[in-house]
Amino acid sequence: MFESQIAPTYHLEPSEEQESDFILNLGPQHPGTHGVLRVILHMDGEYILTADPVLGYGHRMQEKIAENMTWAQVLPYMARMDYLSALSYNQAWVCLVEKMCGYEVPPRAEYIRVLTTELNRISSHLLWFGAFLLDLGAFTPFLHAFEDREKLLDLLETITGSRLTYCFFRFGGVGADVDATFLRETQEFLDQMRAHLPGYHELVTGNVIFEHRTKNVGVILPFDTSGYGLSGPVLRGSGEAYDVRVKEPYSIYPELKFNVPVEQTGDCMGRYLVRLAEIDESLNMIDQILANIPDGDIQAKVPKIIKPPEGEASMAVETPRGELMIYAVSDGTKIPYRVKYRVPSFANLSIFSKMARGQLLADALAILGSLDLVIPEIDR
Amino acid sequence: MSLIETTLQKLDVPAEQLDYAKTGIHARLSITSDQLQKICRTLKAAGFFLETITAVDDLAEGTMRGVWFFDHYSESSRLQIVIESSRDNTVFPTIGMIYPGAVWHERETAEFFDITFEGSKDSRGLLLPLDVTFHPLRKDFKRPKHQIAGIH
Amino acid sequence: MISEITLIRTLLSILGITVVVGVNAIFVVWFERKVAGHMQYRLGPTEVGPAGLLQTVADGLKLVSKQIIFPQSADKPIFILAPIICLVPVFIALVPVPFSATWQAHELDVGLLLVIALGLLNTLGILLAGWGCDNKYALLGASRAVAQILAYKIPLLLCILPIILLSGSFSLREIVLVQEQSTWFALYQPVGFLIYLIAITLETNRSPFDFAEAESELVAGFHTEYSGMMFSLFFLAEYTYMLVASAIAAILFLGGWLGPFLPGPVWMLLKIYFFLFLMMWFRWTFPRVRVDQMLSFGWKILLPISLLNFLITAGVMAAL
Repeated sequence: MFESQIAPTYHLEPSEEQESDFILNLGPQHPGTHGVLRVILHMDGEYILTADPVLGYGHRMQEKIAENMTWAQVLPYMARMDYLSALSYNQAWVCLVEKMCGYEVPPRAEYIRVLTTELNRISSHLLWFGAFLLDLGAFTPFLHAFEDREKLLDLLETITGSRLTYCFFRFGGVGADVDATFLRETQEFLDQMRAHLPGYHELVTGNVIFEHRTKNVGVILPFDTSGYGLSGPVLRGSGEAYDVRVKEPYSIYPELKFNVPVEQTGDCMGRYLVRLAEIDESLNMIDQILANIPDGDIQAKVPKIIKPPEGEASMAVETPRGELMIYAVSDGTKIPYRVKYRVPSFANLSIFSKMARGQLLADALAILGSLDLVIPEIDR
Repeated sequence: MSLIETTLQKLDVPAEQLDYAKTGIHARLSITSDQLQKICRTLKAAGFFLETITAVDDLAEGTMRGVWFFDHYSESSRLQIVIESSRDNTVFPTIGMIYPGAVWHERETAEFFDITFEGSKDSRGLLLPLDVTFHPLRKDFKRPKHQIAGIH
Repeated sequence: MISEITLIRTLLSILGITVVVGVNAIFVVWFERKVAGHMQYRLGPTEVGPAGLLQTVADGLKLVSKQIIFPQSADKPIFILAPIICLVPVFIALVPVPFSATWQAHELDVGLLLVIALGLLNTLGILLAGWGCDNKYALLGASRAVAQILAYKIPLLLCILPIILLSGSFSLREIVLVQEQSTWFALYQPVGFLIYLIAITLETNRSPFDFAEAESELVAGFHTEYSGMMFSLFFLAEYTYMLVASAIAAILFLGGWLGPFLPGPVWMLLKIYFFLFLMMWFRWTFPRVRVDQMLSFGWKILLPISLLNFLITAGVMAAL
């Protein structure tokens, strides 16, 4: 329909850093940045010459907080970084401590962990789906996604006790057991979600305007991925099948059968399709978990006061946004000596200034949306 | 031979293999500052991606350890590079020209630990307000009472 | 010398148009929220008044009672003038619009021309708003509105020209009366009808072509800095403009007030609300088109097709 799908880009010589007098402060309060992200844009009309993200508006120095807490007290802070995938962060922290101390986790607890984490992943992707379409100017998909997400939050609330900032996992187990009602309602949710997913594709994926807004927009070349340390759907949209759940398996992921969705295009459309396919994969995983969940304990015996032996360890998990790696140094006391969070959104946002150069403002916001950023996670 | 072993052979620096099951790290390289950029070039060519850059302030030993983490997309091979330095006037070389994503990690580490990354194009702070004078992750950092010192 | 009857008629017309504009805005905003709600698994307003009908009144009162904030660096006269320039032309544009054979404020021989000309002033209002408040988002929004104006106005006019050829008149009333003799012009001009539909969506700055406001990109576009009553004037102008555009569409293509059984004004309103519903449907379904895509769509696709449509119509008419 349109002559060329690729937006005409502003030609910049790689060497010259063009600046203009027209500086647009995108954020920290802007509907398109989803949180307190600020981007200083030097623009020529609608074209972006340079984009410089300014971070830190939500900075709480989480790493210093962790140095003043016991190992167990750090756990609730996990949900405050990436509030959309709190359970992935829960998992990273408890697995890290279990790894350092050598705790065994009962199989039923591992199943519950993965079950809830995958539900959390779906809810995160659903929110992203809505927010991304909102960035593109479509309002209705947002509420359609929230309709399904609401069920999910209700479901997780019954077992974890909270709707967003979960603190559900424990060292050596989980906080509560699942009952038959929860499992039945999860099954009902699976059926509902499976019935609704084709509707998402009908409403959005095939839409000609959506295609023109996302195809060939914000292309990340495979060449760039390792330089910026990208991970998650942003990376998999560029053709690299890297998923921590597969490459560095933890918990019961080796026992589950699932695919890692990959798109070769590297554009916003690629990242969109990867995330929607991941919802499907998560549904399949939950299916298998529901069929195989073993009986037994949900909590191993662990000491009241946790003192990991002196040394250091790292633990990587796959959050909905990519690879979260926590690196901790213990000096043998009950307080962590040093904790470092390697958060996926941080690396994924660092490529934004490169992607935004020479793009139209509208495309830059589509790109920003397609990266699926959670700003408190970046600012920590 | 696993990817990490071939890479270590190629790098040709003394490496320490760690127990992956207990630490989550495959190998650790303890090197000196002048070797870093060469090693990073080799790693980049081998397809490793930069996970993170950070530092550990070891007050007991009086050292500042710079820590670089690398991993590979095709096979899990977490590589930790450690450079020990003095706690005062710590200087590490930048790897921003090899890994462009490193610039942000370096900016963050620099402002948290008072470390200079030599040769970095961008030495601004990242997460703290631009005018702070303290470095919160240093172990000798004392929390200011009643008011936040350093913010004017 | 103005006769008394003319004077009374004029006053009544002004009163009538004001009532139509006001009631229409109240109803259409409610209608839009209901449509949006039901498209999104929601109910829309339900609390204020029967079925939430008075919600818009409540919102309007709230807006009116709010403080009007003038940005310090705003060009105050332009800032104040902009919403007025947006609203007044669409008010006047209702004058030649016939709601039935007799329900018309004033019959003009060149009614269609007047409506088209007044429609252009809307963009002027947006430009002044964008310029006057000294806000970069507003300026970008205004520049987008100005950039798109030619891209849709020319196809729009080229769709109207065949209608003028068919009817042989610029008078809106005449155009309907001609359709009474033959049939709805939408049947003669299906292509023109479709292009006109796209063009009025563009003209009224409605999604998927709402780049001048573009919430996720430009915060609120040209009216970013407007608050309270000034903002509600823009709001009123938008919904009145939708009414005018839909009325013209109904008159040009669907035979205005013509229809069996029901009285004329009812048919007219039904047709108008059909078009309004279409616009709402677009808005709550589609993502926003990018500006350059819209421009190339306007110049490279809408313009040639509408020109061809016009030439074919002219050729066929000349041959007959």
